[in-house]
Amino acid sequence: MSSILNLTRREIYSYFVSPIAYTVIIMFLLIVGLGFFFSVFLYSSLNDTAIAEGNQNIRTYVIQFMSFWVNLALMLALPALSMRVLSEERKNGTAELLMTSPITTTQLVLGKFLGTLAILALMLLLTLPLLITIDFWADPEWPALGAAYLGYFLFGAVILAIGLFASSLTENQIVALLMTYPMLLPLWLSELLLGRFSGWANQVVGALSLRNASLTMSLGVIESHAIVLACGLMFLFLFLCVQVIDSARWR
Amino acid sequence: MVNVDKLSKAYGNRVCVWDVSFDVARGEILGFLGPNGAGKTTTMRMITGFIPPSAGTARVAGVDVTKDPLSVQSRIGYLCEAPPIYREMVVKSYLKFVAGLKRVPRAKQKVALERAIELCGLEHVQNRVIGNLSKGYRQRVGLAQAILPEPEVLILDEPTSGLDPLQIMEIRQRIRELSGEQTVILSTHILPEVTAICTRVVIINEGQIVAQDSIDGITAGGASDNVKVKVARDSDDLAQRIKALGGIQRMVRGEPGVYQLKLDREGEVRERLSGMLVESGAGLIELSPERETLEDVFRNLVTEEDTAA
Ligand SMILES: Nc1ncnc2c1ncn2[C@@H]1O[C@H](COP(=O)(O)OP(=O)(O)O)[C@@H](O)[C@H]1O
Ligand SMILES: [Mg+2]
Repeated sequence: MSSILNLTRREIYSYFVSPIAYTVIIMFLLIVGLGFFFSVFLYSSLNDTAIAEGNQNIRTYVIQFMSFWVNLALMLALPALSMRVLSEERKNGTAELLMTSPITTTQLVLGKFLGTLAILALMLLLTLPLLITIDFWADPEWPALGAAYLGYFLFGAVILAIGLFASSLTENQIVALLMTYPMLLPLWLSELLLGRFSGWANQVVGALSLRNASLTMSLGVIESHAIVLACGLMFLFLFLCVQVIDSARWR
Repeated sequence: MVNVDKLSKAYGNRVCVWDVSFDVARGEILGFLGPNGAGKTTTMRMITGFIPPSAGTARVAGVDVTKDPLSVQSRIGYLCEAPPIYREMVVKSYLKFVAGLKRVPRAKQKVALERAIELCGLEHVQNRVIGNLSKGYRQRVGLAQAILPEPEVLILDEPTSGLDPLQIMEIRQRIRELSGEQTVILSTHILPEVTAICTRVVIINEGQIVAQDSIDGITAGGASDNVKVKVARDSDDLAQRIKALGGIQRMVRGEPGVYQLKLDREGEVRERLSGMLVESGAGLIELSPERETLEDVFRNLVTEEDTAA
């Protein structure tokens, strides 16, 4: 465990002595902030009957609307964080240090993954001031918000796991970035295929829809299916990542 | 301490290291000498467990590196060809990270860190960002990284390459200071480097070992011939007779019937040897000079120090 945390510490250190983390976090906050003010603005333009008919208070309205923006911002920002994690080690020759040290590949991957998760957690924490402003207008219902944030975190973690896997495939960060999206988007867009198949195929498509899972959570519902899906995907991509590093390609 | 046994590595159908065997005793400084592309880096990567061998085994303290890589890796310090540094890190933070990576117990980390910094002369730069340091200092950071966990075996891949003569002398001095405590394997393509630091040398060319000897044996190489003798019927009596021939500097008996001999160039030793072998009825199969390959190797080596500062 201390080996893992040692790697995690170094990962976080490197993020904050180079401009990457700052750039990514600022970009993320800009998009989320934009979405937030957009949704508050839209809500204020609704008339009373619309609010009553939709049975919406400002919290459900804003959070629901904002979730789209948070997810979008995560999808844009996180691959830019994960792209360098493993490809840069290989390019700089530090992979040779890591892989001739007494740590296992699993420890290496977990240590790096935890490092990126820490940045994700920080990013989400930095959006809290926005929510506190809701407190002025309505009861933010913190438990429901907690569920929404858990959903964001799980969604982000899946993106990072995919990004880490992509990063293990190439020495080139940009290639890693570009490979992350084609793996991520089908999971996001599979919802569009819902209803186009029948029977079990339709169920599989529905079950794999990361977007569905994430949006359900953002409504304040902790859904076991969403958690299982996210953890399953994380496990899958981290496992693949370990396999790639252990294979001959890396040496 | 380190036993390399019939190690081979092929990339695709290109063989880069072929049947390399040598042993390094505790406390020895072994020079691994060969021209560029000879297979030095590849061999060292197999010993450290970075790449798996295609055939053969490498053992450190009796442990096979492919069977238990973590155990081997906790005994070695390794400076690879390009120092494995994170340019964005401060020297001290980097070395702290390495201490954790090499599982140096927390209580000993501080002492180990100070020792490495002092041995490598990094006191003045310990709070600077590695990427801003000169090449020589980066190489020293790489060396500090390797010696930090006080490993039983130190493996250094061309530790002085790309440095200016003053820096080279300093790095060599640091390595010499380590001797006695640690077993060192050091690769180089510069002949005088081996004679300056090492106690023994293994010479490799095109993936194969062409000679291994003590330093004195190699430097005396100019006045001798290496020959390989193969006979059909070997006997201890034959070995005695070869020894008694005179003019034989060294004799190694390999597999039954195969002798590696180092002969004086003067005194027609080769002629007398072949005469004796034929007349002994041992069934001479082969008597071939090995001098050629060795000379080829030396021709490709850098045999003079770069004196331009
Ligand atoms: N990953 C690799 N793929 C293919 N060939 C390689 C690889 N690594 C090394 N080689 C080849 O192996 C040979 C030996 O290389 P190397 O061990 O680096 O030599 P040295 O360190 O003695 O200069 C070279 O011809 C090199 O081209
Ligand atoms: Mg080399």
